[in-house]
Amino acid sequence: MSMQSVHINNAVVRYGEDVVLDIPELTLEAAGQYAVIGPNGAGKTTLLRILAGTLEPSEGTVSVPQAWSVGYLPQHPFVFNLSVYRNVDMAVQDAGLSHSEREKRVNEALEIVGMSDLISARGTELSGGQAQRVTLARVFAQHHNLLLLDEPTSAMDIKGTIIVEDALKRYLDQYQATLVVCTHAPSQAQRISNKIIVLEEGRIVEQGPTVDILQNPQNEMVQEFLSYWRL
Amino acid sequence: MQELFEVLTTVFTPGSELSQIVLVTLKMAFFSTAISMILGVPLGVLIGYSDFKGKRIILRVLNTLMGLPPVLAGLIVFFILSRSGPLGEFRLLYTVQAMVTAQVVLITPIVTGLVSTAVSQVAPKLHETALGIGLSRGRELLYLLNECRSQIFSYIFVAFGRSIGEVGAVMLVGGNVQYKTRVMTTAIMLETNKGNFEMAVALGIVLLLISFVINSVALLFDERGFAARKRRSTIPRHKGEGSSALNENKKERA
Repeated sequence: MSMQSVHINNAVVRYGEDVVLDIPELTLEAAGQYAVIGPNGAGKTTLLRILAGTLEPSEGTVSVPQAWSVGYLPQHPFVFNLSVYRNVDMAVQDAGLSHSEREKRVNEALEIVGMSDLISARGTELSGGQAQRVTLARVFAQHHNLLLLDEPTSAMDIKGTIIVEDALKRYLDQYQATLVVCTHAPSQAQRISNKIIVLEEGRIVEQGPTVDILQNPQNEMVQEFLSYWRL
Repeated sequence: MQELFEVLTTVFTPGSELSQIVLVTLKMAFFSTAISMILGVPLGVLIGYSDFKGKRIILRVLNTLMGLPPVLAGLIVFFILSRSGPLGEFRLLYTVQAMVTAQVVLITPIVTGLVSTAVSQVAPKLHETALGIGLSRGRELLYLLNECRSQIFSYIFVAFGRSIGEVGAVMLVGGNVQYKTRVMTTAIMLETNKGNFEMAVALGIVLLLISFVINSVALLFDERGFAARKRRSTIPRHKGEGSSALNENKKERA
């Protein structure tokens, strides 16, 4: 078992009697870019939450290398009623950075998501897409090894989506970070991932290189799911 | 009108019985509001933020206490403070302290319930985000309080309004003693019982005026705060304004 990868072993998550996630084994290699796709209620968010450690699996283990730091962007992140700058700054205030380094990190993160112009705006005055960019900037400012992003561009228009995806790619290149992104859009998976994990009813029904899964899916459910995308 | 004018004149006459009544009323309302907020806000945050065994039962009890009849609250405090009661030795019955205690018993559950509802609406999303960016529990709670500050601010006036308008409980534990525990509401009751309706109505109008002035001052503070926040916010509406916003912010932080 490599120490430079994330491992899930026999992880089961139950809500009451219902099994919402059941993953016998999953390995996420360092610097890999994984997209998790699947229909609503497939367990994508639950998978991300157990990876982030915000949810303990009912059974099994999730191991993330100790040296890795994990950044998790929930599906509905909270934007505080503070300035955009402070909304990002809060993510690095306990990082033990000098004032200038902290300021540099925040400004850089806001720059890469294209929000430098709105640095003084209050969180509550932002549109859904702008708010999502601010929450992404928080994660970028922290310089994590593992990024777990749950539908990070769901409220953005296509232009905003492409800007953020480009920023994400630059970040991944620069920090050699591992990415796990949940998305409803196979086209987004195609643009930003090199591996796809397809979930259905809490189970992995197919996984492999992005190109293979999108062009030649083996599983019947995956074929049907992707057929809507090709329409 | 004549009665109202006389009452208003007397209120502003130092040493008059009416000015004394107004002072006792304000003192009682101020202390009961302050103590209820000090107790109710942390309790409300704790209940609204945490998920623990027995939370449902606590919420049911809290909802019941929010509708606690004032006379019953007064009666409970009366028994506790009466000579044979557990706190009888402190001789607090028929004092302003007793009235404040009864008011705290009445108002704290209301503040707790309101704060808990406000917090529970914000807390889950905020908590998930806080975990995602690794905020400490202390910081998370501070940010949570900051998000709910407008509601909490408005609850101060809900509590104050409840306190200043209360009659049953304060009559029971305060005894409506002249120059000591008589407040506006108990004075209105007394004047009504004496058949002095003009005076009772005039006192009621003075009570409303006090409440109006206090709420207006509070609203003014809130509006000023809102305007200041609005000024600090500089969403650029036109091309080019963004860079000035950036510079302003840099200047502010420098």
